[in-house]
Amino acid sequence: MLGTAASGGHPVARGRLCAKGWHAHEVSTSSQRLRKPLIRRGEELEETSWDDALDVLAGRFGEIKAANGADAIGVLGSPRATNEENFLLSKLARCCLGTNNVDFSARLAALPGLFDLPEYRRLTLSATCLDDIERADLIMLWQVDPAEEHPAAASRVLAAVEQGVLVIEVATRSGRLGRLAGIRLSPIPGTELQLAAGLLHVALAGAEPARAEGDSLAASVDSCTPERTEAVTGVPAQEVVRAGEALTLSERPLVVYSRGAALGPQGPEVLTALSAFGRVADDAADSWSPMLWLSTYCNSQGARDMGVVPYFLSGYQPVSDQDVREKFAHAWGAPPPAEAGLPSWEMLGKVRAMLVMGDDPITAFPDVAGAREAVADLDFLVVQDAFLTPFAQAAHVVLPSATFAEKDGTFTNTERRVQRVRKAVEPPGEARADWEILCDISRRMGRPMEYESPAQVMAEISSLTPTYADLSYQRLDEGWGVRWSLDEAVAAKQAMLGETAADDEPPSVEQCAAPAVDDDFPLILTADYALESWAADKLVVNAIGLRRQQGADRPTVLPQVEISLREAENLELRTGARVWVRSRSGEMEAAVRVSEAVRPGVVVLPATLREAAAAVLPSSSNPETGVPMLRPCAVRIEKT
Amino acid sequence: MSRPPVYVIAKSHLSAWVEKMLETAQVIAPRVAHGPDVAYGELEAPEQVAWDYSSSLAPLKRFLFPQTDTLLRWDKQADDGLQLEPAYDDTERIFLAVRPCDVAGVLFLDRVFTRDREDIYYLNRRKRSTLIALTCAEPGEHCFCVCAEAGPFLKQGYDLQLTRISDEYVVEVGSEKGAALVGEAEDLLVPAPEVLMRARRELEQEAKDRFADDKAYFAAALRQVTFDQVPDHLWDEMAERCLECGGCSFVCPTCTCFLVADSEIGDAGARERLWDSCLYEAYALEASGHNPRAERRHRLKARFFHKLSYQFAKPLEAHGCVGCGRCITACMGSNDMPAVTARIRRGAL
Repeated sequence: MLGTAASGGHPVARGRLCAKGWHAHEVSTSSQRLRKPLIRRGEELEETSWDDALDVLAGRFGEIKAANGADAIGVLGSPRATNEENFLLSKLARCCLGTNNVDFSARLAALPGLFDLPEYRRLTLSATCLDDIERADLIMLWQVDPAEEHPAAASRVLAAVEQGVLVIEVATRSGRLGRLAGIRLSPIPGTELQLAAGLLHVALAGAEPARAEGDSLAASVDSCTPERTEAVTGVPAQEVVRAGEALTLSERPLVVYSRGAALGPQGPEVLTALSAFGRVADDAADSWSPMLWLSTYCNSQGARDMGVVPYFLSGYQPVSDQDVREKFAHAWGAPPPAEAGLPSWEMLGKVRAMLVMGDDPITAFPDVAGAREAVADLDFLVVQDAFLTPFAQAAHVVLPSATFAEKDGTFTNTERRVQRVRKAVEPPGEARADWEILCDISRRMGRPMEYESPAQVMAEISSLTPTYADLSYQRLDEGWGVRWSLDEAVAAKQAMLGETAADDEPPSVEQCAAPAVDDDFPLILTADYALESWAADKLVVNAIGLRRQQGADRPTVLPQVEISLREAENLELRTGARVWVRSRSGEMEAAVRVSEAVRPGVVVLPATLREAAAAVLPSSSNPETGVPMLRPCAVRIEKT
Repeated sequence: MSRPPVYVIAKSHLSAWVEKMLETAQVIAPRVAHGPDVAYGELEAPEQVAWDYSSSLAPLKRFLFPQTDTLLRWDKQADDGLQLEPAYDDTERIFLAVRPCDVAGVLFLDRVFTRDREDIYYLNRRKRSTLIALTCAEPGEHCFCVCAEAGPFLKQGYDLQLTRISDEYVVEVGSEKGAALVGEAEDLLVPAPEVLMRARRELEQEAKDRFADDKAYFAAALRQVTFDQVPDHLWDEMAERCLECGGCSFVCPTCTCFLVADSEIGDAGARERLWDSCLYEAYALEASGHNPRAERRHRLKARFFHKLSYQFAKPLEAHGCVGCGRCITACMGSNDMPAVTARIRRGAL
């Protein structure tokens, strides 16, 4: 395999690729690929045969299940594996191992995962498609930097800007597209919910009275005047008014967001408030959906669709539903357990053994050190991966897997487009496709899953999954994939939640999540998930040309934090200066980078460096959902 | 000097001719990739040639200067100690039905890869290549070859040049290699009658008229870039519209930058050169850590200086653009050649 070319006719690519796309082949051809199974002997991982590795794996999982029950085992899928592979993983976990402990760690950041949390009512699954960016008459970039996180979306934002569409950027640290934004709102970290409420207040006040009257939404933001919003968020009242009025005038507003918004301190509440923006639009067509979620991985959507979720089987069918379980039992020969399993962030520390397909919980969770400790404490860990990642190095058995170019299957993109990936070359050495590995494991454990090809797996997915009912490879091959309909998923969700699902309860906006600052700790440290995320990506790190271009081959001596021009002046700091960042809980040494993109009073830490900053910025969890997160905290900066 | 001979082949005989080519060489021709996508690719059968295509997704560059090109291989545990072998590609290739802009792109590469020193990897492939051009009667959506003097018909540089006149193809011979190829298919090609020659000349004129020549007026941009008269704010504004994907470099028939990297598996390894893009942040990064083009606007400015300034055009006998229009498709922002020259000309975005 020598290179990559962009497809001209493909409706998402349209003849364009981002840098990751142009270098995608380097991942497959990397000399760092795993070529043989590895097994732990003492401190070392040594090469072994597939037979040996599978024997050990089946034996240990069998022992642990017999001694501690099936729920002592946790299974993680991958937002980079195919739908077929994630489906088989769910089947293996539920039928062969007998547990609903199946999840993928990036689901945490893949919220509209709100939809995945059964205790959360609202449906915020993205109904939009990427081309809606060019149909919108107002684009609001909410704590997202599409240039970094989703260049295919950023490309469409640039096209919209050329057409004169107003872009509003909401970000503590302005992104690459920020300079093209007509309005830039930079809230104090932790006050994003209050800013959303303030914008809604203005927008609803300008909307038709009939719309606002008796509206619980309007009532909930009644007190959020521009002046009060300014006092809480630090965004000037006149800017709140400008942006809110623009929302009122917009017929097709589009809020673009990603894990940055979802992982924020009040992520779920913020997203609920944002989804109300669409209701402001006076004449908004019923078909217009105001929220576009940009996924981080090629198959973040598909892994969820396939039931790599502890509460759902494929197509968001609840495991708690007797009829659903019977349907799957009939097809699979054994019923899935009825009790919901553990989400990924609760598995660590609770399960004794794990099977992990291409996932890496250590790099995914806010508390890196805690995750690493929990992984080290496991009695048995199996990792399927194309590379010996730092996480895989902790495994007892490592199984070498194929990359996208070496297997058939489907991925489901951020706009729910299910599309084919085709085998172009053989995997290196003894590496095998994950779907084949899963079949091997199940066979070895005495509950064979027999498939000749991923097409056969897709036939089973279609037969069991209403959202994927008509998706055969033949149909997918006729065009450029198919976007699955939301209706079935909504129906499943409502069936699970009952009548209350219809109630749209506005979030409480009273509590803000901004930390208190004082003379000792006058600045706010916050984590940015987009910043420098490429250099921490295992695929970028292993792509020989791309890693150089993205700086992934340049070791940094100290973690870098960004400060504003104002702080640089006040503290007499220049880019590269070494500093202490001190919070009430601890301290870290860092190098500063002075950036005009950063809001004065704020220190920005690339979230990928959060382990180095753990003493200063401890992880906590969302009180409502239990989802772990990083809350902004008060700090001061001192020269070393 | 006598006029080079001109032949004609019936459309119905093309398959037989291509069949002959397939016996002697690897044939690279436009093929349907998926849906409306057409790309140059290796031919397995004559009927795969997409004769009526508009343009290929990628230029010929990747066949002569691949995106990943192995330069040498080593084995540290060979019988006689370290074994070091250069990796040459000796495949004979016929490039069939290539659009004139892409032939012009190859001619540009010829000059780049022989200017300072001879690049043996490129030249090895190039001297085993035969270029059969196919002229354009209709412009594609993004074409502006007329502005870059690279089409829609070629005056020279091809081995053979085909022009379709209803059910026949006029075949012009441009080199001895081309003459030899015609000689091997004497039963299929006959000398072209004067009436066809005239039809071909008329078609060329009509085609040139059809290709609008206002898509990329280069003159103002050439002068302003050469003499550094482009206002800085323009580069700033263009930089805001660049997502650093590198696509413009990769699809450009005249871009040749590469980086070199070694990779090793066990005791065996290879040194490869990989396409690089001058828009990437680390492109000009120095070992000291200093980056003379740390900002995107500096990189954009350098790119278009290289493409348009007289300093490069003089030794390379042409500007670094053949008017294929691929950057218009590939750019994730709007920094394609026509857009950039227009901004410079107007002095505004």
